[in-house]
Amino acid sequence: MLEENLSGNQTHLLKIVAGHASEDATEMFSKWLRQPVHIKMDRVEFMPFETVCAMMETREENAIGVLMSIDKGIEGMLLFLFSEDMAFKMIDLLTKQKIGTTSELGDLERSALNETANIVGCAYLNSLKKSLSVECIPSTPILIHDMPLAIMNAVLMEQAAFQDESLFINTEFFHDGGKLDFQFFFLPVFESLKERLG
Amino acid sequence: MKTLYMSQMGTVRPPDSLRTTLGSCIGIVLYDKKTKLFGLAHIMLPDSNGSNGNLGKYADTAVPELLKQMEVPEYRHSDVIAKIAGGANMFGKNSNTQSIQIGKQNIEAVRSILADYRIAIVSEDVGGEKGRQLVIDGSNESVLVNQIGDTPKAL
Repeated sequence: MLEENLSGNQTHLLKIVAGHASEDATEMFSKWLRQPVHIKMDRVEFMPFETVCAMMETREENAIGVLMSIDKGIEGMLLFLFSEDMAFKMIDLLTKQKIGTTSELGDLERSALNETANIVGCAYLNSLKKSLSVECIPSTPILIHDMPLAIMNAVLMEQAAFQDESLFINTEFFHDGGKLDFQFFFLPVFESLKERLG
Repeated sequence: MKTLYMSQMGTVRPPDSLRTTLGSCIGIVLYDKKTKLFGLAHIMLPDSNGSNGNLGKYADTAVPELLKQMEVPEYRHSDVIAKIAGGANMFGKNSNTQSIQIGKQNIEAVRSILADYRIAIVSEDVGGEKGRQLVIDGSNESVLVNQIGDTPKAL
């Protein structure tokens, strides 16, 4: 079990660092949307791949995932997972259209979601850089429109060569009193993170 | 309907059903024509390189383990047929992620391992850029593939 490879102090530090990073990302997300956004929950857990996938199984509708791989510093993946409805709502907010206007993904819509991921994701990584003194350089965002479980499957596949379970860092966002059907995941390669936790 | 996730394996006898959702992983369906039993493995990587921990994770360990679970002795391997699906490159051609190569390697490894066990692949739906839901539908003993935007198709 990966969790047994972290000391109590390292686990505590990880939760604090992840919490700060989520707050910094949320602040940037609020600025980008020009609307107040809040974090409800921050989960930092070690989970076998099948447990992560079982959580996705409850989402039957199609989803839009925007992911960024981190190949330098702390290796891993950032994943933004939107329901279709939420993605369309966010595009309407960003493009100042009436909610309900967007109904399909064209180049402009893809660009808006990719840019959201880029801005929020980089705010998260910059926070990690400040806390852990490590430069994390992400790839350009990649957008996938597919079944949520297939998207998570592809993301976890990137870690399969290194480990059988995932360090799962998940943030949920709230806006205007309601939960945004949008989740943010940071899935680091364990060994590359562990060495940064002292 | 029971669902299998990454690295998991299972057997099912009609009328019960079984499903799994695949990205660049491969779903291997084995069907024993004599006993009418289906087996399903959701493999992630082509080669265990001698690791004996998670048998369902690798093509080279999942196939013999699934045959064992289906209680198919070596002399009856010719009674078994296979259908495979998955191996998509979900990140697109321009990304530099692992899954581009792994999807292809998984497809080749599964074909090779099944050939080693003298099991014929009677149908396959592999590659592309979309995920797949693979369903063993025990109500009519069929195997189906669902992809978003497409109607379900028989494998």
